[in-house]
Amino acid sequence: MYINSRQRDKLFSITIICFSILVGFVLFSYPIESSYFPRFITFFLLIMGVILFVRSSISKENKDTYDIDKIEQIKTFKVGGLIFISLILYIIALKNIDYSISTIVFLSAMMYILGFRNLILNIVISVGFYAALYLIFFYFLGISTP
Amino acid sequence: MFENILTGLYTLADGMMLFSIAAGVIGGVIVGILPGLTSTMAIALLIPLTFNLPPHIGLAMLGGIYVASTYSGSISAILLNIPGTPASVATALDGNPMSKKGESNRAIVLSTFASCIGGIASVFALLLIAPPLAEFSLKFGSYEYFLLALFGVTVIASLSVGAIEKGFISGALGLLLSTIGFHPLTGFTRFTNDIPSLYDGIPLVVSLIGLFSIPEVISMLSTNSNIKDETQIKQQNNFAKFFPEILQQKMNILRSSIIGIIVGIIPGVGSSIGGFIAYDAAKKYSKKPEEFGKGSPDGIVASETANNAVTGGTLIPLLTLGIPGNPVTAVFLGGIMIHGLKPGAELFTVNSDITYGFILSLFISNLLFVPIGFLIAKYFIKITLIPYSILAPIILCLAVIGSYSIRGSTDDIIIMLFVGILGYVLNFFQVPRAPLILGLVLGTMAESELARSLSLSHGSVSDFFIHLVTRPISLVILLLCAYALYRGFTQHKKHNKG
Repeated sequence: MYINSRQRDKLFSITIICFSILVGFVLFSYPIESSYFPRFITFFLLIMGVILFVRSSISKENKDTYDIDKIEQIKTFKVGGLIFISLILYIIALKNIDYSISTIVFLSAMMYILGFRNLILNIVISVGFYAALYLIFFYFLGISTP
Repeated sequence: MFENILTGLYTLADGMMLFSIAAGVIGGVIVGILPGLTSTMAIALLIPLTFNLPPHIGLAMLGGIYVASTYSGSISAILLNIPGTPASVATALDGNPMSKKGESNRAIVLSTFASCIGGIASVFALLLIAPPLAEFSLKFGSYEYFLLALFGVTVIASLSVGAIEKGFISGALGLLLSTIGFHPLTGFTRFTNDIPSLYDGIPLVVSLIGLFSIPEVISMLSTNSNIKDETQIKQQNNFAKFFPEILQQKMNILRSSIIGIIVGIIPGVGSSIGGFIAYDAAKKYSKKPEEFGKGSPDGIVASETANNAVTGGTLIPLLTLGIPGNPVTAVFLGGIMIHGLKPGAELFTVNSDITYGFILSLFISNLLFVPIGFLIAKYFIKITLIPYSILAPIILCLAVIGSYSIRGSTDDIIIMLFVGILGYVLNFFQVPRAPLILGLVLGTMAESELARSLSLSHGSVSDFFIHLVTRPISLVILLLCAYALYRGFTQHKKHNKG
């Protein structure tokens, strides 16, 4: 997917309009005395979404102009996907395995995937950083491990 | 006030306090030098660490990071033409040309001492202006506090010049996020889906971490603006010989300090704007305006004095009225609130030991970054060479442990991830994130004060509005809200025409 700034504004405004309608439905199932504030905010959100949609629809911007390089946009998607998937795996691991193992493995794997291929230094940094985290958060501040 | 200052000095005399200031300043200088790492992100990541420390020590550390990172962005701006923080953009205009002429040391000396003097001037302003303003805030009732929250939200207009609809959408999303959990008066739960971790709402610090660390990591890895060429970095020596030059800049320093403090007090303007306004003023009054942009010492001094003078200025409305003027102070407000402290008169009376200890710690921080800045500029500028492939996983690990440590709950890590996804989506659509923070921070206050005001008006909306316009202070705040919106819209129009 490669979109220009006008298409991006349009897509964002449609997302906001759909989101505010959905939230609005949920809010109307709540008693009025507990939901007048979020109802007002949601209504405001809907109005702003419509204004943005109208403005981006009548914008005279050339359809062929792109403010972000195509390669950069694709890279943002790829990097975003990598970061979120790795974080989900890390959270699953630290809930089910062990904080120390999952942190060291996460650090080493991420550094390797992102291009740091010196394996020995990679492991030294991962273990060293975990040791620093352990000292500060669990030993010094007395927080229990996840 | 004199008694309070003495109490603050007593608090400051704690060895642990001095250690935390030094740690904050060192951390702040390093964060400021590294392009891509912002002081907002550093403070957001460190709040969980300070949560377990006594409030005065935690706040002193955060203060150290704030002032030191605002200063040290100038080091990379001068040496590498990459402003480490947005505050140093104006410094790069003359700092880097001076560095290219082989006068890096001179530029660093000028920027360091100018930052130090600007920072100290702003702490004096904070010490003198904040207490009477806090006393005045005692006259505020629910109506006024609701309007203050509203005033904070109207700042969005000036935070989102060029994308005003998106700014308001972002702010509204923040306000909506703040309504998750119990209603402040009725106790009815909203949007919780029966998940106990959400009953008390989304923890502010967790959302700050998610919103500022994950999108930043994705952005730094996508643009890959890491410094690869070691020859870009020159060894720095002999800083002392340029010190007398700063003494020749008295008027420039005085003018830029005043500009910085005023800009800091006005919510939503920010340190980069402060730097540019002072730079522009210095150019107007300079005997050699033609040198600006080519390595003018006046330009460096003006920009650096003003951007550090902004730091103390922004803390004035934050500590007295709870209005965060920029994203850093919005995060800072979170740091104050997690210690159970409430901005306003109480902070200067009941908790005066903490508040004055914190304000006085800023003097030390502003003095301490001078030797630490020189030392780091001399030896550790090479840290800008740390590849993002190492830095990014480390930031992610800090974000995870930081979110967990607030309540010792892994659910908070998941919340942080969701907010991170929201931040990424907003970044993709080029929606400013600062308004979302303002909405999130001020939403709880706005909703609870609105509920109280309505209950004081016996549920009558017309009575509520009559109270808003007939109470003198609330009328003034209402007019300020209108002015802030007007200013935001005119700036937006100007920007679009330009």
